[in-house]
Amino acid sequence: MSPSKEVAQLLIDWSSGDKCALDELFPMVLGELRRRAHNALRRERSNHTLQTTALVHETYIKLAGYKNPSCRERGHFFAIAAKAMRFVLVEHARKLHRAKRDGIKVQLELAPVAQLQTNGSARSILGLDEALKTLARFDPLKAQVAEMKLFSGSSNREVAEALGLSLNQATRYWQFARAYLAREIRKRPYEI
Amino acid sequence: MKSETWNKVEEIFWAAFGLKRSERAEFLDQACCNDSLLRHEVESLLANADTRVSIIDAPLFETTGEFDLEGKTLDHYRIISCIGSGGMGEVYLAHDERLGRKVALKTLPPIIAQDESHIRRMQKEARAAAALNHPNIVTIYDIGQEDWLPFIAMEFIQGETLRQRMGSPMPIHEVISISIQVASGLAAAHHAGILHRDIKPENIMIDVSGDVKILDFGVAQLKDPLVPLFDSQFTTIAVDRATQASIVAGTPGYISPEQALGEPLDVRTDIFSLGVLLFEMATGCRPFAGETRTEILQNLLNNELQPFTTFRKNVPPDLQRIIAKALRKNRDERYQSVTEMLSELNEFSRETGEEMDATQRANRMFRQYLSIYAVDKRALVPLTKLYFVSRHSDTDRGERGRELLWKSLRWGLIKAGSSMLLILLITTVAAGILSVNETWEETILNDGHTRAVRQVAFSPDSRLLVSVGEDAKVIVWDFAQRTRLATFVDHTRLVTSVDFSPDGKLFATASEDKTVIVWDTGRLEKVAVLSQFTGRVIAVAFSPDGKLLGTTTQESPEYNGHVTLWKVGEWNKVSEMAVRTAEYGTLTFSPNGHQLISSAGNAWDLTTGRAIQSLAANWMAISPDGKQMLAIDGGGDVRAFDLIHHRSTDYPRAHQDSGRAVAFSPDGGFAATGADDIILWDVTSMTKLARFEASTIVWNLAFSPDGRWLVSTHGDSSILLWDVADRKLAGALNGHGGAVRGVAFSPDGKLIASASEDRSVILWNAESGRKLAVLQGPTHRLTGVAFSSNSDNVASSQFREAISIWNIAEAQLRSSVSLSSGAYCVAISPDNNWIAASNHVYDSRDGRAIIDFEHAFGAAGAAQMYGVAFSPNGRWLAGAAIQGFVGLLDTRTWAVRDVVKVPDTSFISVSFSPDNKQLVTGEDEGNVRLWSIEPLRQIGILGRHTSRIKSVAFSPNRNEVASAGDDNTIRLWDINNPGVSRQIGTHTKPVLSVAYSPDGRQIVSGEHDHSVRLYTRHRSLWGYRLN
Repeated sequence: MSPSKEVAQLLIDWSSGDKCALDELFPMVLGELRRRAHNALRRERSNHTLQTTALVHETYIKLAGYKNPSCRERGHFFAIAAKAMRFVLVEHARKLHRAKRDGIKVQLELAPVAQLQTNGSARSILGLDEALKTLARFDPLKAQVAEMKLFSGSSNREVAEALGLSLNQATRYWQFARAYLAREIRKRPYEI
Repeated sequence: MKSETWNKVEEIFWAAFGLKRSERAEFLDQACCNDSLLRHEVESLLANADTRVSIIDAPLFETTGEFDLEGKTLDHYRIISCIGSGGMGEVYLAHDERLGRKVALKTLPPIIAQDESHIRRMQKEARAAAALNHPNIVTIYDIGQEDWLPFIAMEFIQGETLRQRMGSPMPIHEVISISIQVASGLAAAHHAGILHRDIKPENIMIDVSGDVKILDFGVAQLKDPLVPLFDSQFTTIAVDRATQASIVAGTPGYISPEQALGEPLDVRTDIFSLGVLLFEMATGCRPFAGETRTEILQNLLNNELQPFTTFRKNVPPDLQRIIAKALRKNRDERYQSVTEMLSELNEFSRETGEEMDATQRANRMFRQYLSIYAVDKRALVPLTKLYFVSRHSDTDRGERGRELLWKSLRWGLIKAGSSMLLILLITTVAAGILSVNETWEETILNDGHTRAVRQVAFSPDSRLLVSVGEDAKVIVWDFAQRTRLATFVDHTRLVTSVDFSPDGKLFATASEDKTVIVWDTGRLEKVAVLSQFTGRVIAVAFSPDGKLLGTTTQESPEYNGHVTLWKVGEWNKVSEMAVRTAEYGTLTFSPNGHQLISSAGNAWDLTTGRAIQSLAANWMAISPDGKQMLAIDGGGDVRAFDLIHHRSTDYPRAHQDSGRAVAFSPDGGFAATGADDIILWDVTSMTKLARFEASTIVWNLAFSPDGRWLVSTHGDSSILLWDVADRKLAGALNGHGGAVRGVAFSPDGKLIASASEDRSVILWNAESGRKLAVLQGPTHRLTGVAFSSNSDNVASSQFREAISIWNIAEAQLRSSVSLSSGAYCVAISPDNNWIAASNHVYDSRDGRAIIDFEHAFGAAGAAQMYGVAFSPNGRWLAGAAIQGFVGLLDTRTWAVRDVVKVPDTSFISVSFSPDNKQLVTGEDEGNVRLWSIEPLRQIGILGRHTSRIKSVAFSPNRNEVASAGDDNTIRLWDINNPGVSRQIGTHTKPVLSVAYSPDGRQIVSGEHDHSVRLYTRHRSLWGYRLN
């Protein structure tokens, strides 16, 4: 089975309730996201912005292999990609943060992840991750909505499809989760 | 939060969200029915529903930046390491494989290579620049392209950039020397028809011999044509076209007005940039600065050059004139060629030098003299003012002052006219006072050994630890209290080894002074001195039954020596064996006492007296059950030796450095080996459980008899404690074992307290530097420390959970205040009634929170103080908020007196002036801001650090401010002379905290490298010490 077919099939399996499919999908998506981030840098190295959304979309096209999927499939994919993207960014931020704390100049060997110039500092990514974790403790669904919005740049419709919500619900959940996260991040201290 | 509460919060949130803002309050009154917590929760969410938080509302990342070229080869250049990066690309140190020389290789954006015309243009520029052969221009060797990546190979210069050199205003003679060299290079380039277009400190290199080289000729121009390329190339990727389109070649802050306006450029553009460079070197500030790009450009285009005195008072008028002329906005009013400017710079340089007409010289000298010391006219007459300026004069000024004074005197004698007499009088008085010099002596507070610690031994009850070292000292520590009980200096040379008798009543120390001293543990006295040795004693050990003492000596340079057994109590020789020895090593009895093993490779069966098979290594240890021996050698290999079956297993290259230490835990479950790092092993499986990094080599390792701690001794004189269960650094015996985040002097000046990430507060005697007590017990890393006004108590804040208040006399925890979140700072009010931390002010008697900053400063959004300070009269509390505002609270009413928000920064530290009238703050952006408090408003910026400031402090006489930060500096600022700072101390890591002694003579600092440093101010007049 070709990789793209495999991903498409796994996505279908997962949406139809096969939880094991996620265990196979996640590492594939994670690997592809990392690789693409790296390649993008080699080819397109200059001062333009390559956004989260663009990267996730490209990864999707590469992995799923077809361009006109149903919104539901895309949504499912984005849910996974958001997790993977969060993983990549948090991992990256931790490295940077640790290096900074220990007063070490960030080495090139941290590449390719270290090449992502995150919006905001390592500490704010870590702060966001912390706040998401707290939210997930008492409202996992809203945390998932927020994760998709933040880390895969999904539209509200994609979120709704992926998580089985109405569009109105998805919109409101995001609005509420956003207010919560904004508050937590603004009051959350960071270690200096 | 409970889920029902959360649901309720959400429900009310949505109900209120639909309402007009004006109607919300009333609705919430009803809906929350006096549940203030619920109401606060909903209100804070509503308040944040529309606030923009960049981490949420902007794309999470963008890709730019570098990638890994190290070890790769571009064309025939092998990349060694990255040595810098700039706007266009990175600079690497590379090896030219063809010509066998080192080169600097600058990579350019790959996008350049995608257009033929760009490549041609780049080549043309680079070729022209390569043709420039001038000592002040970096030589270009080659331009090339590998695959997709274009690069320029050029002369590798060992040195620093002007940016790295600058920091604060530079001495005038250095400014002149550098600018003359830059101007010479530019003149040569202009002559050849090449503009630089991007003169800035990053593009000027100063090599190790002080020669100046200009980098990157012609490269700036390559930036222009990039803009339109973005459109065609990256259609799928979001590009902020508005920003891209506004890019101008050059660097904001250094470009000329015509460059900003996108007009055609000529040589006068480089002249302008050179003017900016000179201005910055001379004053430490840029002439047209601003927070944002737009602001800088607006300043550049619209605002007149500020008088030099705004920035620095002692810029000579002639130099001011030269700089001002280069900085004219209208290029017709500038120098029309660099040569013209160069000749004026040369003239100025000569004038400040030797050859001049006599009269002119005397006059000029006087003028110059005044300009160096006091451009300010006030300073001419009132001597108090002069003195005031002088106390902050730096060495450079002092020396020049003396020099000029003598010159004036000589000329005064020749031409003793009345005017000269007056000049002479003033200069004499002024110079006499003005050449008061200030130096700061640095001492690292480190209570223990002063050189490498060779070995440690625990008393069997874990109560005491004895350490011996290369400083010839034997130190007895109270291990639980982590304090020094006694130091013996009876040995006259390096002490190599120490061991406790099994009953703990005695301990023996061996030294290269050819003696072994036996000590009584209870009385801490000498019991016996064994001195019948003919060589250095390198190891000492008690037998398990306590009846014998073994020693190893090294008697000749060929490593011949003896292992000797002594009868304990009578101290006579029982037996002696000739052996080969080493520089250092172990002598070990097996736990049953039957075998004796020397690490140099000899072993004996003591029951038969016969030699048995053994191995040689640097260091070895036998497991408590006697079945296994671990050895480590000079290659870092670890070897496990089965003593029952005489088999060995190797763990090659376990360490990267020469191994020096091995130890077993008391239960035999763990072992530790040390080289330049420490490995903790699981003995049964011989797997590595943890690796501890140490800053210097490990000399010795020992587990405490209770198995809780692993102690390591190091080449830098430190003795570190590792928590075996947590596998973390837990502290140090000589000082701190973690970054020191808080320091404070007690108000009576007798004590210094330091709070560290090692979770302890150390109280030091400020006079002797001795460690008086280690306050232990906090569960999290400490962030700050403060004394009560009567010097009885000390409070420490920590990252989470609680503030601890300690009684100093008893060195005991008195009380603690529990926190809902972390505290990053702590302050005690002068009347000792209040304790302020990051989120609240607490009543010190019952620990009750009396004010919540988030409520108090609600209007300003969230409020998390990273610095708090009470005014000395107790009237005010100032807070430095990470959310970018400074707040002032009235301590009588706890009402907010004033809040000032500053965009785009985070405040980290605040300090009150001794007269209660001013504040100084430190922040993320590196600015040291001075504030008045009535009303709260910024007076000015004293100066800048190049990165985040961690701590600021006002001197007790209110004339000076100390600041410390992530740029590894402590800077002292004269509040009457903004922009000028001097740095004190030698730091290689960030400085986290600073405090003045009450008499202002000393400064203490807490550092990231775990040290606490004390600086003492010395003043001298004409070489004589004043204090």
